[in-house]
Amino acid sequence: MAGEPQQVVVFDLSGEIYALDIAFVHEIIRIQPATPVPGAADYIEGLINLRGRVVPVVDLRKRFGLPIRATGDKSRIIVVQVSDDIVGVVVDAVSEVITVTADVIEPAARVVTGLDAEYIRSIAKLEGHLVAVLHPDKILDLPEQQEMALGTPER
Amino acid sequence: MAQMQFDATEDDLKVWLAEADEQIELLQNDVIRLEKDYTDSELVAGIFRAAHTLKGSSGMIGHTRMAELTHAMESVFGTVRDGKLQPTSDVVDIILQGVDGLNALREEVVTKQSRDDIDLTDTVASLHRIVEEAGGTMGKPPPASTGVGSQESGVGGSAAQADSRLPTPDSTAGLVLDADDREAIQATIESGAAVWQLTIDLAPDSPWLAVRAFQILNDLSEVVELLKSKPTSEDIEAEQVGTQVHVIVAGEADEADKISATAKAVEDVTNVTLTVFSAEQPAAQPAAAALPVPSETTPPAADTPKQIELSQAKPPAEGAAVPRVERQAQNVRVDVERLDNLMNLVGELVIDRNRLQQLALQLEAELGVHDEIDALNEASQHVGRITDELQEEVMRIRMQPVESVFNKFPRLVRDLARKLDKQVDFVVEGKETELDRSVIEKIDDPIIHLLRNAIDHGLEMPDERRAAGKDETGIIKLSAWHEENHIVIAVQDDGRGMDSNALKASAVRKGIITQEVADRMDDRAAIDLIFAAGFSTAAKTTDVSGRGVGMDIVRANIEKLSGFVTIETAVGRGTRFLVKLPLTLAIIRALLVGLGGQKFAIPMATVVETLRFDATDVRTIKMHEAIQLRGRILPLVSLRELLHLPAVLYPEPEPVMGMPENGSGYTGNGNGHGDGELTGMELVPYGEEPKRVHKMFVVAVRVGDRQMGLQVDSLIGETEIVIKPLSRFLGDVRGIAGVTILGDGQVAIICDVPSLINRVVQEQLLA
Repeated sequence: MAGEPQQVVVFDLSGEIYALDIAFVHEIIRIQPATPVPGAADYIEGLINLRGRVVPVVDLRKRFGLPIRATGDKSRIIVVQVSDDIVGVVVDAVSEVITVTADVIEPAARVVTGLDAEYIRSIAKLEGHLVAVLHPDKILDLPEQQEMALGTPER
Repeated sequence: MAQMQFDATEDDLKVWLAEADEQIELLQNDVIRLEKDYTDSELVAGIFRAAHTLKGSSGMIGHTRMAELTHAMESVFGTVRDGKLQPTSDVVDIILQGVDGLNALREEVVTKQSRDDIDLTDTVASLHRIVEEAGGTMGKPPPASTGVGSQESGVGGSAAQADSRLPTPDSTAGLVLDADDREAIQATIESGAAVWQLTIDLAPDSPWLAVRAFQILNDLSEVVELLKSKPTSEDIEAEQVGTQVHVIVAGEADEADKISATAKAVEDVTNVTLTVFSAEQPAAQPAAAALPVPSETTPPAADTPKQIELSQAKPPAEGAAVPRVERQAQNVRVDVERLDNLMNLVGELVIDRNRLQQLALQLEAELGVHDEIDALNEASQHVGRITDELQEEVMRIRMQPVESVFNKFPRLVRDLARKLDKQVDFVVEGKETELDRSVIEKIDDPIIHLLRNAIDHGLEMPDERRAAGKDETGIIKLSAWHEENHIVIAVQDDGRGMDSNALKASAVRKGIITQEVADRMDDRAAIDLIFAAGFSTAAKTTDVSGRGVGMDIVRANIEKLSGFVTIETAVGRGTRFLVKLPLTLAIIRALLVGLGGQKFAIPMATVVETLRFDATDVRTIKMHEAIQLRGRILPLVSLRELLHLPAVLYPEPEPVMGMPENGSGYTGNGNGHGDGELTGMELVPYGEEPKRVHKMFVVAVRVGDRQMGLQVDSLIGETEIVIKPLSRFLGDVRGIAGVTILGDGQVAIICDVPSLINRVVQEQLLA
């Protein structure tokens, strides 16, 4: 998997550079006001209306405890789709879509980034930068979310 | 698990499954009725026919094990029909074992994997033994999938051969008689028997013409002697079957009705025409046409006089003719998924209709009166009307009778009653009551729980009942009816009822409430205790209802469907659970309210009225806020607090739509800006009410027989909303029934009022 050349969307999150396999990127939209969901986890920004579809928006920075920057002109929502689930991810900026070839990709090792290794699928070396390619399904299937659901006290 | 193959195409198997399900369900439920009344000859005949049909169709697709099992079952029903066997509970147990076997074997057709783990030989042997001991006879063995009917249907080999000599065996054409056939018919008539020609029309959309033709021949052959048929058994095997089946049969003169009834009993038969051959007729009329009988060397195709279209031989006004035209069913099978898609599209349309109407209003407000705006208004209203009608039509298509769910229950009740040694008369009413698919799919679990509860906990043991002067047989009644925009499902028993003092004592003993709380509790609150988690009234744990699993989950599930459950009970007389559910979960009417700059939807089903009060009207009663309303006390709670909304800055959102036509229930005007009190910027800290605001808006809601006032920041208006589920990604968020998209494109949260109110009630109880 890490050996195949792939197209990735490169984006900025709290000053670090990450990437997502373009196959999972549904679209990239401007920041729009989201309807907060009472009682949901704090990293859930809320719900937006994406052409008639209600899509939850998650702030990965809050989720991973990264420093939050004020929403600016460059801020975007990357809409990620894995099978039937669709989630918006707030990022500080989307820089480019690039093709990374097999020789610059390595499976995720113990590289130090702001994110836990389990969310990183592979590492791409680009002009001296290390870019962490994220696991889209890990982002969608948040383990803390499951714990929270289970931990909800019964009435 | 071995791979299985059936002698039918995938499409055919689908049809087969649909029909098999129907027959199996009918078998199961009618057998349970049979246990109570085996003298009902029509009931027995129906059961026999179901088993017979299953035998035929399973044989047809080559499902040998199923054909064997249904054959054994059919024989038992035949023996009952002949009055030689009384279906005792033990016999019914074995028959129901057979039904379970049928369900398992039916699965094989779905999965194409043989269930080798299921051994039915014992069941089949038991069924055979029942028949033998009762002195009945085993019926005809099940037909095999190959060589169908040549011996079964009684269509003689010579006739078939005669046909095979015809150069163009177009099986959809009418029946063609050659000289030999006519001779045979003549001879039969002369021997004193009656001969008929049957023309049987099959529904053109029947995907199973060959099977129907086979069933017709097979069933007829059990009543009369078949002389000739078109299609022949070979045609049927080759699936060379049209929408008409022609058969010539011989029998007793008074058997005409029986023959036509037999043919008509087969599914998909739309019309049966019976024409009698009198001794003169073949000789006079049809034979006249055939007079110049040439030798066999003449090519028959070019030799029309030799062939007699028997349909022309029909006597014009003969009493024996039984023309019975049935209205052809104008039904189309539609994939459920398509229906759901259609519903989604209509949902989108409803959202856009709301948006259009709102835009027109906005334009008018900004630009004043313009011809173009008038035209836009007109068009948007028209679109609105059409959308309403479309929505109504689609909703109607999605409506199903609750029968499909209710039909599962007689078996459940019977087995449970037998297991618990209780005697139960199960009465079902209102099966035909319709509701939306989205609801129907989800109601069976709660009903099963309530039924189990009623039998296990509600009904007493027979000796107990006798001692109390009641009939030993308890009555469990399941009924459904419509009430306004709701369906009500009731589960009622005539058992021991619930004693509020016993419930309180039990709850205290289990540590659910303190003695002090119990003393304060009124009867209704005490009865509601059975919905508390970890509560069970059973003195002993049974494997039927379990311990504490049940009522709290039942209520949670019903509330998830935006419904609620109430209890009526009387000690010694019984208990009735009433479940009230919305007719649909797809599109509902809702009241929009403003809270902290955000709009929330409250389903109209729970709204009683909207009110506006002065803050000084609020009283504090037993530490809880309340207002007096027409001499009653309405407890108040802040929706903001209930939803744990944080402190926010607000001016309120502009009202987005006018008040509804029938908004007479509103004392508030829906406009937070009207008298200037809510327009200021004001920081409301978390958990604190905006006390300085003099006017306050309250939505009075009702759940069951409990009313409560939800305090909101503003009232916006009533509208139709399309319910969308909350993303799985958000986990299980309490108090939210779903989300919707409003006319302005915003996403709004739909409040789950029953669960919010129950939370308040529980918190207040435990406080």
